[in-house]
Amino acid sequence: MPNKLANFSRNPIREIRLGLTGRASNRPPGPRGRAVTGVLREYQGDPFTYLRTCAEEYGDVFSVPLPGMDVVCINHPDHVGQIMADNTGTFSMIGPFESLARTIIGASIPYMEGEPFRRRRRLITPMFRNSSLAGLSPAIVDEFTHRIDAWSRWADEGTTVDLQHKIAWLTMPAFMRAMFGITVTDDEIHQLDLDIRTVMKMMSAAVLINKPPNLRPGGRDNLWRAYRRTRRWIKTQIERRLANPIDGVDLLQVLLDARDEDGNPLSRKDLVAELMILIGGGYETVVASTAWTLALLRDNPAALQRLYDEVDALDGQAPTYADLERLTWVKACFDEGQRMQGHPFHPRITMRDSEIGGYRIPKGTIVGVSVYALHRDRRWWQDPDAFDPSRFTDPEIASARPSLAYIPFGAGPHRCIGSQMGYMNAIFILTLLHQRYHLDIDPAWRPTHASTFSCTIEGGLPVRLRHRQTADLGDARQPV
Amino acid sequence: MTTIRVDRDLCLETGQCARILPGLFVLDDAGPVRLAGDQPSGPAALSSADLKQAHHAAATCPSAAITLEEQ
Repeated sequence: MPNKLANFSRNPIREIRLGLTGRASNRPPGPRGRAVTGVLREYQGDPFTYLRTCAEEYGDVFSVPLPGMDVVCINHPDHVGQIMADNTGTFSMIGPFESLARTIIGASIPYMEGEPFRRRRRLITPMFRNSSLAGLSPAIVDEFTHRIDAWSRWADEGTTVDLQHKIAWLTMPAFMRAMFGITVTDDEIHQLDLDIRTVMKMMSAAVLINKPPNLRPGGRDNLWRAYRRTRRWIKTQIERRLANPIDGVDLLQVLLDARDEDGNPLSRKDLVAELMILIGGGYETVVASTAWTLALLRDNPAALQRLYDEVDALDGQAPTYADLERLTWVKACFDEGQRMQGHPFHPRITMRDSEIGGYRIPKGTIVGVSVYALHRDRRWWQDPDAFDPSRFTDPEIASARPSLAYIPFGAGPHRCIGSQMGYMNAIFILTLLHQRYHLDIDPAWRPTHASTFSCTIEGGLPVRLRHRQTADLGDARQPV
Repeated sequence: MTTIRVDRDLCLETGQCARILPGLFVLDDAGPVRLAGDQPSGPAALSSADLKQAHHAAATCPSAAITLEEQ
């Protein structure tokens, strides 16, 4: 009963409507929270730990009272399948805001549902296929290699640098080269990095992870200016390409050539929207997950040594696409880094009255999963706070847990379309980096989550780089 | 009876399903994954022996390209 009163005070109109229609009963348990703000303070203080603690206390389906609404958090792989792999239209990424999003920014796959979504996804899929990525990989490795080689300038000098930021300067130009076939200037990287992070900040503000960026005109952190500047930059790349067609194929060309079942190309507005979403989702996410992997590898010297052994088996050669199948431990380290990184809340909107785990979920309820809590659930992960990549390489351990206990890229139809590109980029970066350098991280330093869409490391990844020496390798192998 | 379909236009060619059930999913140089047998996209009837692994393949397909239907 106390819960019901608390709900009532936070959104009385909705509660009255639910009560009148007999749909107010059998709601999930959860913290009561304050009258108006609910548990906003606790959630925003540390959404990762808070939702994990709630899951341990209230079970697999629980209510999280926030201002204006009680969202529902789920924490069981079966329920993840129910809301994320739903193909009945009961749970939606964008819900009633689909046409609004289409009008304002253009139609893009995260904001589409149903048959239009599947048509668009089919249109974009070819550029993320293994066969396409194999073709793009030499340019990406080349971009990574010459930039990581350039870090030699400050290696061995004892200078502490933010490697997370440095990795952004790897992934952004590599992504742009794969996407547009261009080499971006340092000024462009700087501006795009700032602007895209500002736009992404608005998206994470929607799930109350952080405050929105500056919405008033003027100022550096201004959303509208950042959005317009990024759109303008993308349009310029499209116009350049249309004026100067290329012989080869890159991601922009795949999108320009794409035709739907009726033979129609993407509209210019939708093309810009798709490219912006792909850039936003395509580079900072890899930056964050790779930085977390590096930060956590430090805690497991045996895992780190095994990684060195695996990359040394390439005999100093730059990795190729074909090598990805051999670099299984590097991939496992990245998987384990993503597991521990997690994400506080992946939401869906309930489009019709439903039931999850025996609890009533009325239409309009925001339901989501705390990826962080799911990835540290002791039912599926033994000693969940330890960095142990063998969870992903030991077939017995890996097959013992439900497949949807691990969802770094989401699940179902909306699962990240660029996941294979993400793996490719991260494995290439981890390999090239460890072929060349040792990372020294202050033993007293601990990574914590930043309040960003991509869940980067707060304050960055402070690292001193050292060139690898023969003595470090522990045997007769030569440094790269 | 359970039938299986594959939306080959959505396939990302990761080969995950072919590693789970190599007798059912075929991924080679010819392009996106196809179902063994006459109809590359299905529908095909699933044997009870394959059912559990087919569900696993559908749940872990990175593009949700595999669907199972109860007839």
